[in-house]
Amino acid sequence: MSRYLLRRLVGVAVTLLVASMVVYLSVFLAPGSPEQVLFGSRPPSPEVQAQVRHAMGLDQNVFVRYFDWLGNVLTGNLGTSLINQQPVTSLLGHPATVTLSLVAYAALLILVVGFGSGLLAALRPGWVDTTVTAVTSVATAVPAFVASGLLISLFAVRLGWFPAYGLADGFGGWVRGLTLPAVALAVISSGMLSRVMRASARQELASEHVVTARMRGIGSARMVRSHVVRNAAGPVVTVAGLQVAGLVAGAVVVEQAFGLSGLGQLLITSVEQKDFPVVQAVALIVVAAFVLLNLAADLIVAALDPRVRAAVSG
Amino acid sequence: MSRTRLGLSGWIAVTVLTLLVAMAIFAPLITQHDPNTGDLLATHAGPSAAHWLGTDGTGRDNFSRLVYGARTSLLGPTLIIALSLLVGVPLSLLSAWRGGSVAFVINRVFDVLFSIPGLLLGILMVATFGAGLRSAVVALAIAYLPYVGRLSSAAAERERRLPYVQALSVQGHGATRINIRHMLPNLAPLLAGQATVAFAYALLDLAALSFLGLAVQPPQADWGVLVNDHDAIYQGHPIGVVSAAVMIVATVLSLFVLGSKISGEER
Amino acid sequence: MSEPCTPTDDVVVEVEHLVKCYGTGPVVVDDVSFQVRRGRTTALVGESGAGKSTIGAILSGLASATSGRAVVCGEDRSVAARSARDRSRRGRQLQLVPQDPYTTLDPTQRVGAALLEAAALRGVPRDQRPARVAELLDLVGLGEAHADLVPRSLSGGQRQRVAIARALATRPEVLVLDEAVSALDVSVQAQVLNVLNRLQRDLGTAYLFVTHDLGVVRQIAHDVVVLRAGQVVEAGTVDAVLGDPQHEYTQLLLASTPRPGWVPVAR
Ligand SMILES: Nc1ncnc2c1ncn2[C@@H]1O[C@H](COP(=O)(O)OP(=O)(O)OP(=O)(O)O)[C@@H](O)[C@H]1O
Ligand SMILES: [Mg+2]
Repeated sequence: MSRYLLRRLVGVAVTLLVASMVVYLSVFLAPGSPEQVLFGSRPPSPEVQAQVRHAMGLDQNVFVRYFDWLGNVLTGNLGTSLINQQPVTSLLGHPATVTLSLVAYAALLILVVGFGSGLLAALRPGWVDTTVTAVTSVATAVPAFVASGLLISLFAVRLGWFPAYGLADGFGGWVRGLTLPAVALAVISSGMLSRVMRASARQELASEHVVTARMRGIGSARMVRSHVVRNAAGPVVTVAGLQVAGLVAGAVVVEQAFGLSGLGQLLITSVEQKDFPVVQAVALIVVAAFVLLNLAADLIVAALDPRVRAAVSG
Repeated sequence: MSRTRLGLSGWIAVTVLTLLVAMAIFAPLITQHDPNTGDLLATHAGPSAAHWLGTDGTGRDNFSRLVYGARTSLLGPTLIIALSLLVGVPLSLLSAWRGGSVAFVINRVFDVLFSIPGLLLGILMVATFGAGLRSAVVALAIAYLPYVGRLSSAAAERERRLPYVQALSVQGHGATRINIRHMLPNLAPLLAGQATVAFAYALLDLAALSFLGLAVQPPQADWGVLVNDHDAIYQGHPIGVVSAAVMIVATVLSLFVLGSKISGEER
Repeated sequence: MSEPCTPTDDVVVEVEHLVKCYGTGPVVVDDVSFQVRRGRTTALVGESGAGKSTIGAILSGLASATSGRAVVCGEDRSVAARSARDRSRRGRQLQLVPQDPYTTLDPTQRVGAALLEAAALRGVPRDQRPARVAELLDLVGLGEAHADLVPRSLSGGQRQRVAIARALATRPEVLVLDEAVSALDVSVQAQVLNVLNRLQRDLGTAYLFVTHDLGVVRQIAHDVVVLRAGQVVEAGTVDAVLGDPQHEYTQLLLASTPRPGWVPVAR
């Protein structure tokens, strides 16, 4: 197990390193250089420009700058915004809280609805199964930006139950303001998770040891808990991890639709303003979250499933 | 492909997709209204004989925007998937055939690309090369490379070990011939199934980028752009938004069904 | 085209102290030595699991030897071919008809195309290839109609004959036939054996004929090698070994073979 852990950690570290390079360098392929953003429409004299370039380290080789940047990132310094000259870290606090709350809310919905409906469909063949399967099939084709528009039209504009835009103060305000965005974000993934859950649970129900357990007279409820859920967990946790990890990027769309000032909105604004240090910082955070959440899911799978555990420690 | 293999849901999916493609191609014949010029005296009009789905905030015909929107909405993903297949399939054949360090390098490249969500890569590309369909298509083609690549290199690896491939190699055929003339046709159904599903996801991601204002630019009609009509939503005239949403969901659902039928799994 | 073997070579296959273990498994070929001469047939007999197919795999380059030598036309094959040129030269020297006819043909390739492709390997000019295919099909007792079928529509015996035709298409110096006629019924078997005998007379092809059927050995082979648990227990001319078996295992094999009953074949 520890060898597997080590190997995965090294793999993730390498992936992150290369991804950070991609994130950093991609911005440097952009036409127009960072200092032009600073100067705006009134470029100063060439001497001043050169001084600014030197001060920003822009006269150095791209790779030197990348390693400078990486060193700073590793010590918690994400650079300075080109637009308002504040440290990027100080700009991230509020947006990160918003995005984290949104993602956590959506993840909770996905896990509860996805697991629950999938298990329900597997255990109740017949019309329950048919209905759940039909609904979740459609759900897998409803992306967040489509769901956002529909939810706002119905629940915010028509019925007025939830705000259509932004977050009110206080815990209640956040919950109310985040409910529609979280639902919009959760639809497609819940559908997917439910389908995977149903498929693995059915496979497990049909498998030999469950049939044996049934013959031995182990009660149905206990059986579900002890055998089916445990053995079906592998693929389900993998898919759940992938879906939840994807939420961080998916949040960009939902934040834009609902006017939430999260990391996604910050990213879009920074892209529009060409505020490269902020773009790089947010992109790096999104990639890191994606990779680490996937890693977490893999580790949970390995810890849960004795078969995988045996395979990876061998 | 036989009728029995597709089944009822498969045939419905094929019909829906055929209609959509026909709609995109024959758009000018289907609707008389120009999708981009509006009648400012008839904004947010309800459905009528002249405007089947009403008009939007600038009086443009919703139905014709929907019909013309099928063009970019379908063309974009086609380019994305074609590009990623064009690069990904040869890479995965190469990786399966050579194995060893070649496969290692190719797989690491896939890993890194996989670690960057497609939407984020799209946003970064747009930051770099400016908003527009072209950057978005290139970015998503890169983002879809690892999906196409990982699945097809796993399949190619299995195929490569089959006795018929080994027999061809013993016969004295070159690697290129075996890969192109033998492995590829045998992998084709699987690749087609995966490409169909990937097409659906590419459509969603591209529409999401258009929704964010980063891919297809308004006023050009595109389903992603249409869904983003905040103005119509807040003023309580969501019919254009809802119909674009229905188009997206129906297309994606049909692609999912067809994809799983092609690769022969249950859905 | 230069001949792969110089005409003065008499011994075309020389196996010396060949040893094979798969991975860390047991020894499945244990210090085996024998020869196959130009224009002659050596039969390799022995019970299931004796290591016959493994020797064929090493000779054809599908597996590598653990130690010892497997020389075909003067070239040691215990090391795997690396370049495409090596493989194509080796293909002209030796062809294999694998044991399992169900997995050895490309499922998507029509019979005619497979034979055309094999004929092309041997440099048959394009305009002569169709005639060559017809001739090959005829040699193995299949009609021209079979050219348009894919392997799925052929029986096991028919596939086996396609595999033999495909191997013959390249006119190799040595042909390794692994249980190639075992799946055929007696009349077709006799026909194929006749063809093989005739080709040998006309072209001087050498055969390594793997079988468990001593009746077939009598019909086609000149020399015989009896293998048991990876070891050679007895070897010599057919008349010597089958006429007066020295080893008790050979005697056992002979006793368990229903004696005559085989159809005499013209030599
Ligand atoms: N790829 C492989 N990996 C591991 N072991 C193998 C492999 N191929 C064959 N063996 C083992 O090698 C031994 C010899 O197998 P081989 O196929 O050469 O026998 P054979 O004489 O051709 O038998 P048969 O008459 O049944 O075809 C067997 O014990 C088999 O299990
Ligand atoms: Mg064998």
